[in-house]
Amino acid sequence: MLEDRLLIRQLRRGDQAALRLIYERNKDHMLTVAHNLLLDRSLAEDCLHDVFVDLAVRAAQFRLHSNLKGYLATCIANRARDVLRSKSRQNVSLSAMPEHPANPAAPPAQLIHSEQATRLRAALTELPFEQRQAIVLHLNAKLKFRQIAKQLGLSVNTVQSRYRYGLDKLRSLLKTGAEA
Amino acid sequence: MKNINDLEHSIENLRSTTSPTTDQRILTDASAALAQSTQTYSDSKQTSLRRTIMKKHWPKFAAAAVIIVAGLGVLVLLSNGQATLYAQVIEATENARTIHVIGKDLQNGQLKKGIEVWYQRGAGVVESRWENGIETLREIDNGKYAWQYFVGNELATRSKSIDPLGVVARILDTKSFKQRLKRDTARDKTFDGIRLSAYSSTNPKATWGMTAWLDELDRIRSWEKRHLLDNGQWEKYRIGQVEYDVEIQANIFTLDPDVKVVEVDTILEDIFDLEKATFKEEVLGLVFAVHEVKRCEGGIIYLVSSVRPTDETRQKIRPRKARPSYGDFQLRAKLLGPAAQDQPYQTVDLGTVRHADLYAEWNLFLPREFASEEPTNCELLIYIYTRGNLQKKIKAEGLPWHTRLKPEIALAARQKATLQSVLGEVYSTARALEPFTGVWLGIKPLRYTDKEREAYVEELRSRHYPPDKIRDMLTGKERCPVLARSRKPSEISKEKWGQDRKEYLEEIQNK
Repeated sequence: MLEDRLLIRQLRRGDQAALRLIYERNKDHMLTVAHNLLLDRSLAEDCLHDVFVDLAVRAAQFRLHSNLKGYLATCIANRARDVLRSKSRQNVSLSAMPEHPANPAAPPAQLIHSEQATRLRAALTELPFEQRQAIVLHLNAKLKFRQIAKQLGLSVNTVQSRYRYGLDKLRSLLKTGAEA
Repeated sequence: MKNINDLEHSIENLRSTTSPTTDQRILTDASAALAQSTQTYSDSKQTSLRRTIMKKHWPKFAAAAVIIVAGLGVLVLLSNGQATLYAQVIEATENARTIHVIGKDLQNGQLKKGIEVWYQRGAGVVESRWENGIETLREIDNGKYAWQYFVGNELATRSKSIDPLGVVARILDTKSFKQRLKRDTARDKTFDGIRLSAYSSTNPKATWGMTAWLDELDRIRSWEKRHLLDNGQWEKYRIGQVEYDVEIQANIFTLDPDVKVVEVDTILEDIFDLEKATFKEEVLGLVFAVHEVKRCEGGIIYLVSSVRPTDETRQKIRPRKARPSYGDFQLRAKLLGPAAQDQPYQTVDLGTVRHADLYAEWNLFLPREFASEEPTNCELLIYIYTRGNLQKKIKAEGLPWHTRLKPEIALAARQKATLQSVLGEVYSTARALEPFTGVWLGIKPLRYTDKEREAYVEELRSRHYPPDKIRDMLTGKERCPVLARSRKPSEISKEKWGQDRKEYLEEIQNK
């Protein structure tokens, strides 16, 4: 927390190095959150761009009241939700998955992993956003339930319930998809 | 997926990484936005810093007491004719034009930079503190002045120079190293083509060790401190490296031009002004002074007092920056035990200030039953103690290093202040001084809860406190100190603190 506060203090002063450091430390897990919420990588990158530019625009008056990583992860999750609302939702059923381009150079294990990742992401997008958000913030952004609850202004029980129901539904979707 | 753990694990492995192109695009846009936004915000805040400070925090200080040196560009460098503050000059500094030191310590389980120091002959010393890759504090000393800047703050402070060489002096003092450490040829090594001789020391139980490596010119090049873990492995917890005669960039000795600099000494000299002191006396190379003494309601007396070295002491005896204090004092009525009971007053702490070599206190004197109802003067019994290098010198001369004073301070006949106003004044002053000095407000002692005690013990462990003492603390053999007897002003509101002090006064009166 002290380190976060120091970084933010420097950012408020317009320190470019602080901005770069915050970006380097958080970009990958933020992109992961957005990508797993949206399925679309280019949309996820746009979200990442928007969140950081917004942070920079508000830097001079920014006040951090919690953990920086948690704050940024929630920002990008909210941004992803906004993107979904503004675009028509494209439900991707497991039976209609886009074919991933064949890469003869990729080893078989990598191809299998890539296919599973696509299936899993597609299944995630079938969940209600709130359940998806709880899962992705906990497992990809590595936030504790109480951190998620604090960021979203919810009770811990609500977050945990969304997480559990989300995983149950996900398992059911993946099982159905496998049987299809 | 077989079970929920597999599913969770699979989701955890859904990781994405950015591409360099994406990084460049985002950083370019964000950097531009940052430059634009902070400039706009800065332009919109045209309020004079002096006016802001005066209005908010320091109602009683004269405007002249706050000298703000705006935009410190290049520091005034030591010229040949300019005397340093202290007569002693380390000879070894003549062996090096510049010195660069990097010290690392354990942070989150890894050895990371904790301190970086630059010395340049004729220019001064810069010490920079780091935590987890971020610079947190920069201290610059040119032998006349010392600047302290907590990175990220709007303000930096300027004071008289104390111990201008700082840690550099200890690094260059190889005589001390060789006296304390033994030659350890088994650890000799070559680094960067330079043959280094090792000198080591361990504790009697062989659970801690230290090694320093010196070059052919007897200059320290590196050192390490290590301790033995429970698993039998040795762990290095502090390492350092020294380079000599390297090029140092001039901007190391500067602060950002938009950082405002505040003259701390001037502010403190105004509050604790010796010229206007009600009482002062020189003893043991120190000056004790009473700056204010006031009657309050209920026969309570309010007192402001301080101790500092005389100018002669400052000239003759060099303090260490880590411990710049030359002395402090105790008002006898504070001490427990029967001897204090014959004093007409019991002392109640309001607060203390420590900055560089100045130590000051705000106190209330609560009358005991036998105290005069309308005293015309206030009898004080003060014990003065020398500390640090001043104490060492006095002890070396076989002289007493502490003494007592028994002054009588006249009380103005009609002057009476309310307790409320006195507490308010102390709080406001302490709060204003907090960014620049070590200031604390006295509170009723807070005891540890069990959880806090455990956390305290953990912290001691991380700082390598002796394990047997920690064990004794956990079993109750060693007394665990109270959690706090004081607070930083910003940690407690004026109202709460005032309430705390009033309750404490009532408790004493009702005993």
